[in-house]
Amino acid sequence: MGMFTSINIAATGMTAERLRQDVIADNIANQSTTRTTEGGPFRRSRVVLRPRTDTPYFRLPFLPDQWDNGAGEGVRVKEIQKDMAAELRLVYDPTHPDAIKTGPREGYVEYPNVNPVTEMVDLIAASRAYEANAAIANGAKAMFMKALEIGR
Amino acid sequence: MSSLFGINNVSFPSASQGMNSNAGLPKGDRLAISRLDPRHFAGSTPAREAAEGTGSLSFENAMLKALDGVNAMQVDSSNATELMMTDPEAIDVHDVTIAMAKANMSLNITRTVLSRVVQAWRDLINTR
Repeated sequence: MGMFTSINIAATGMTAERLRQDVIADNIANQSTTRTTEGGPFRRSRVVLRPRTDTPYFRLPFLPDQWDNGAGEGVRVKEIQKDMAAELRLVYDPTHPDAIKTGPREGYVEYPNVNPVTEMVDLIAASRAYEANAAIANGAKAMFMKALEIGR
Repeated sequence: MSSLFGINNVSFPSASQGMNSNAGLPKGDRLAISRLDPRHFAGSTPAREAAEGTGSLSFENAMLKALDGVNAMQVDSSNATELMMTDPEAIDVHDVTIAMAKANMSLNITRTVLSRVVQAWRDLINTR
């Protein structure tokens, strides 16, 4: 309940959205990567977020003060996860050095499961969420300035 | 009212340990059902003043302590700006601007308090 609580919370959100943007940029940059160190084509990454507060939220009508989470402490990045579920894109290109040599899919190249449309929509969502957090910081500062004007 | 919910006689070890350190709250296996901030209650007890650490602080000490905090904000802001110029990869833009906004806000409240003090002094010496 300090002077800068909401600004600090908004800062965690802005940092998380910046990381989402970085991950989207990495996905877009690697949308044609057919070769990785771990083998196979590139897989798209996604960011998993969680609240910064570790104590559980109790749905009791009355709580001891030390169990009360209050307003929360913002957001934290849990992990950057590889999307192994989405299907890889198959393109027939037998002369490609990474084309599949044997089996029923011979001559096909596995391209990453990055969908540029999805990534662009995610990018718009991330930048709008960043703007919303910046609006929170500005609003908190405007409230603070209004409080200083009391009695002037 | 808490007996309605049956939590009156339940023993919560962590809760009762935490509560023993708070002088104003009930002890033992009784849960504090108040969700109010203790600062909302009228009057002040010595125990509460000791807990908040503001009991015997003179205005001068409080002011110096607050000025230290304001100075720390300024130092944070200038460190962030410096880092932004020397190593832009190491810090986000919004961290810099937020540090600057914090420094600005804390300096503003200091200026407001000081101008109120000066105003009070002027009001006093103009008493006739």
